[in-house]
Amino acid sequence: MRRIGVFALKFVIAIVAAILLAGGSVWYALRPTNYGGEIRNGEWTTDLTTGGKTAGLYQRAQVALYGLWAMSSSETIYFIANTDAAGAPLAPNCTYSVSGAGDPDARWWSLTVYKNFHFVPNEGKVYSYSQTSVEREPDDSWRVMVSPEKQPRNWLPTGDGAAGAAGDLKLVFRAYNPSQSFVNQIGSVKLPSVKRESCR
Amino acid sequence: MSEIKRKNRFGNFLVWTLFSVALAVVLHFVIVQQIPSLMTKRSVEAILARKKTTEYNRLFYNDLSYAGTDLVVMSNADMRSSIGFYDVSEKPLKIRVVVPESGNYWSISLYAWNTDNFFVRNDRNAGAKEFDLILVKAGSKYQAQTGEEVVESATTRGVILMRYIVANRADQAELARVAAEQSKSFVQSVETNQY
Repeated sequence: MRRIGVFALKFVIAIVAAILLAGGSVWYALRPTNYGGEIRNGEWTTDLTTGGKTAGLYQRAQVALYGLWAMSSSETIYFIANTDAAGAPLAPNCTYSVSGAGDPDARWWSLTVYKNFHFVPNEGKVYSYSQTSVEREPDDSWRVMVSPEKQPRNWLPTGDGAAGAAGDLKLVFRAYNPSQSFVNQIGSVKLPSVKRESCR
Repeated sequence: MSEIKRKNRFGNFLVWTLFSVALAVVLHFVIVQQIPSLMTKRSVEAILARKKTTEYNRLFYNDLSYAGTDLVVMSNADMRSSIGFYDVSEKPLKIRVVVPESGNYWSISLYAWNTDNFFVRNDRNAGAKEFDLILVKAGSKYQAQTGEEVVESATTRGVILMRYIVANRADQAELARVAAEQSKSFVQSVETNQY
């Protein structure tokens, strides 16, 4: 009887340890700061298998967690910036300038800021700028300011300026119906630059 | 403790550790594999709860997303959407699709319960201004009628998502036009003897 009791206890301990180990390893593999993709282009990352049948097990799980019902790359390519051009994690207490020289070789684009994977509440209900809404310079270039402080134009508010945790802030640049040449050069095409201007 | 007893205890510990690790590896992959279906279930239930219904095979015409109401993570800020959750376990589902004329990006996507995107068509490759999709379960004997396009889903339940990009979310006139376009598409169960 005592032997059975000891065996049962060891069995339960082994099961609990397995569950904790499995849970911890899943969290580590799919943690939010890891979300973006295998392809890197400056401060942007992406994955051309997103939303497609060839996406791997981990890519599918990450997309389900952080970009549910994403479209395949022929419809939309999602570029995600977790850091600025210098490699520092984006922070909600900092001001960033996101600059583009015209438009990518795609049908249309949009730039959206997220805090903890959701829109940032603000009075103007401004969460994004796009090819058709951004105010441009005479040479067709544009600059969007991502900041907790009010900006004169093209301002994406990021909240009250509290510091937050690493990975809280993300930028997503969506390119719709990209051209084949854009897709073929995905790792080197010119994308907007994300430059940190200042921090509180 | 004798040497033999010590070795036995170590051997015992090793066996249990290996058992635990092997089980953890299996659990790890099972969990990762199930996450897409679990997230679909969670999101579908949340959206239906917000709509105060449990009804499948119905299309909901959504406004733009706003902070505080964006249920799905990293929602698209520049899009009105029509979303529905299909259940084709007993009958096919007709999706009457009307392609908008705005010139902005539009698409219809179908997702299986495990988030596999098994069908997509946009305004540029739709081929027609209006068309009917008949969504059926895998292995269905349904015969397409004239003008129908049969699409088979690997899972009996899933998601229908129509995306209508708006060029400027502050333009109320554009939003009203898009809303009018959305309401032209609908879904309807199909009565048939062969299924």
